[in-house]
Amino acid sequence: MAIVNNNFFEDGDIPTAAELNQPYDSAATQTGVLDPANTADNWITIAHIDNTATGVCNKLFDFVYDGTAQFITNSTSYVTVNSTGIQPSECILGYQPERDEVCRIECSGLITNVDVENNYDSTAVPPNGDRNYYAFQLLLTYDDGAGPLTLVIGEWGYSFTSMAGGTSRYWTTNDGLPENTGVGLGFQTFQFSKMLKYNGVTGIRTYTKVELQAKVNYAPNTLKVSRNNIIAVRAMR
Amino acid sequence: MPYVKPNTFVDGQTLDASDLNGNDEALKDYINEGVVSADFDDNLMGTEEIQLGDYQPITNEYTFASGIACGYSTSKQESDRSYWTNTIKKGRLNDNNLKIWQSNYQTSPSIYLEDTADLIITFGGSCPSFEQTVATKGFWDSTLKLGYRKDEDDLLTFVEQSRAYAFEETVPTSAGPSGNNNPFGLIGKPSVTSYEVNEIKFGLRRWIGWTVILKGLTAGNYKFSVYVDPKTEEGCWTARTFKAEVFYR
Repeated sequence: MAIVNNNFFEDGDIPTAAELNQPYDSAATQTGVLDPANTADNWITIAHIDNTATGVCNKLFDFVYDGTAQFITNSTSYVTVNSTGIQPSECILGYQPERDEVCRIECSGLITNVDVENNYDSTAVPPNGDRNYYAFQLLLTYDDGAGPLTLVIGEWGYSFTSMAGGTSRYWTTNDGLPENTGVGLGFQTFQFSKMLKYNGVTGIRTYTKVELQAKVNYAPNTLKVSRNNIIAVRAMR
Repeated sequence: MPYVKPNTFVDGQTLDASDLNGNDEALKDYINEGVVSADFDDNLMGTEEIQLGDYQPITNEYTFASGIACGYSTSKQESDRSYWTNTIKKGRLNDNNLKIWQSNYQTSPSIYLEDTADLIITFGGSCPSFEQTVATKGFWDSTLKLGYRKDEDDLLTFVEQSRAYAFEETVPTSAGPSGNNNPFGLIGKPSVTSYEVNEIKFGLRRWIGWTVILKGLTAGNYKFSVYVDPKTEEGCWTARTFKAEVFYR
């Protein structure tokens, strides 16, 4: 904390040069070690923040598709969403995170005119399966210097129908009708987010991209994805 | 850089008033306007040093510093609902083309951007669209979108990243969806059973949520809101979450 000392004189005193120099030398020394004790809380406003590329607090990356074309899949393994057919849902990152750095990733979208051939939750006997589900995942591609690797940031599942999953609602000839298990729902939104923290050594890893991928749990059911976006917020030091 | 005294005093010399005043002047200048970022070490300041922002409850305005978020969250109490109606479309209640946008007051912050910025806006809520009592039933689709105006510009800018739909919660006896979109996919209308009525209604109340990014909005006053183009006589929102984050460039 900068504390600038001063000398007080009384009438008739003859100050020495050291006494006269002292408050100015003290100011010169202490203003070289300013710390938060010298500032008021909340003093940093936008006007104080460096807006050059190296100075910003956060850096945003994004992929946005806001049109009405549909990505259609029956795949039971994850495939990258590509609503336009020419531009996959990839958010390009291209930076090296520092140790303990955090990246926040947001994703949302709209499913459209789904085709639910099998809208019951599961079969009557084990393995019951979860045919009524579709799922998304965010896949990070990174490089530690030996080529691209991937990491699943998170997975999020949804049911095609108005019913949740489980084995208690299924279609049999003796227990109700297939429509009793709910109806397929189209034009519903999906939305999720996840934090990604890097614990390794600074300068080793390069984040390449984050992809939005989708799958269905039962191939005869068709998932269709329209608008979707991926937003990454890099919290910079 | 830190303060540098311009004059040094030496024993035995007559004190020059201008030297003394010069040192004081230099110190005054430094304190008043000479402190620069280089005078603070790296990693010195905590987040408590960053401006929290100012909320004006009367006008529902919020001043941001970079990275600070303004949020709104409410319960599912019916008293918190914000209602809409299509009855203002006189004689054309369910028109598939006539759009009359109504805003949700729960999602209508005014945001003043001091500089060019990117915004991330997150919405989540339930949007029941109740069964018609007068107009034709038929799973009518009401479109929901985020929209905004800037300054005195009267034109709404809609954000297609936020496009979503709320469907009429009718009993499943109609010929099928009557709007532009089919909530039941290629199956078409659901069959009719006593079980299904409630399942459909609950299903059509599935959470509506999105996160959008608006890039390079220039400085000025913005009025945001989630809007609906209603096709049912009665519907409502409860915006459980509405959050705006400002990232100055």
